[in-house]
Amino acid sequence: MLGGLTRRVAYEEKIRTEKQGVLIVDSGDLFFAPSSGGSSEKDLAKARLISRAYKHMGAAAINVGDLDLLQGVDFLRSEYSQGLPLISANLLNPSTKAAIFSSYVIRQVAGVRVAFFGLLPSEFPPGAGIAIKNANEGKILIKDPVEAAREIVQKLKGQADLIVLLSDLGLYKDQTIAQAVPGIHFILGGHEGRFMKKSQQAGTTHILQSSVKGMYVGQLRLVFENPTSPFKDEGEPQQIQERINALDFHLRSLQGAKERPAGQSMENIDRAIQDVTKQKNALQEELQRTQNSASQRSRFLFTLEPMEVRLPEDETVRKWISEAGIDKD
Amino acid sequence: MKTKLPILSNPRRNVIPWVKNLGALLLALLILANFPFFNRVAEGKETEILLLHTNSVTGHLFPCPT
Repeated sequence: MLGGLTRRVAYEEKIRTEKQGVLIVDSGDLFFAPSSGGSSEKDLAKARLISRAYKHMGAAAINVGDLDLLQGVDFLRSEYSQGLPLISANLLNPSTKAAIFSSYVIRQVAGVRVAFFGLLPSEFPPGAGIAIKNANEGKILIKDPVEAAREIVQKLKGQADLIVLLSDLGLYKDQTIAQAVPGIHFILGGHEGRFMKKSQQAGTTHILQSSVKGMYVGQLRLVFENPTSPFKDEGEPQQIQERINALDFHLRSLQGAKERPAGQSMENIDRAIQDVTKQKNALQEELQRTQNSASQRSRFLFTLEPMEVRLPEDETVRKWISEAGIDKD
Repeated sequence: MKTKLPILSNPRRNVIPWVKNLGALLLALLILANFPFFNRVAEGKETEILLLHTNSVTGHLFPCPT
């Protein structure tokens, strides 16, 4: 059992009180499940509660995902007009071709100008796609994400120290954008909701996702050593160490097999030991290199924090949920 | 004949011009230093920020049983 809005709010607010320079963001598909195709009052009530909670937390930016359009763009317009910081660089008004929400926002924390821009896919998923189209007929136009990204990044250069894309495109398209549009430091992705303990790198861009259903909160800690230097993954040494530990375990079992041979030829075991030792040595060298370079660059550490049921709940949000008469999802 | 000492007779003129200019410059720098322009991340100085991120929450209010 992981997740829950009340726990997430309590957790994020606690972090905010303990640390400075904290920004809360969401990459999209926040409000509706793919199954909530029809216009259900309960689904809208839940979505309003989520919106209220994110405003309560003082979220910095929330990207519009394709599933957020399930109840029609008018719901989002209404929340946006009440202060929800929705962004999308490629969700346009079909008449004016202008962005319906802010294309980007720049937040300044700890002297760092952080720009967030958002993108959603131009093709809708097979299941929920029909409902999204029906709910938004003639009201939206989705621009090609790569083209939109190129324009925004060009605009943001010089205005921001850090450019972050909040993406609802999915990992494959995030990689395409990262390759096609240099200058994006991080892509905080979503759409397919992967559990990613390790960042993916495409060009100089690092891509991350934080699982699904609010079960985890992704924490991206950024340390700027030099504003112009690329970011180094601080988690890399630990990941290499874990691989070394796994090889050590393998080596011990091979040595055990050598002492108590059971069907395997001694020659094969020796060859395997040699191979694994070679791999381990190469990793140790890589670890050394990584540790030496880590101190000379700006760096980041990404962790997924599980929202366990033992965590405290936010009483205010719990009261709102109870007043709305919603006792389960 | 009464001689008027220009510096001593007018206290407002009793300030050497370059001191006045320096004062104005320092005041201008003090004001500018409080603008965000000067708060940018400086090279060689470590700055830390933290982004708290979610995605694909898909309307879930309660813990997921899976």
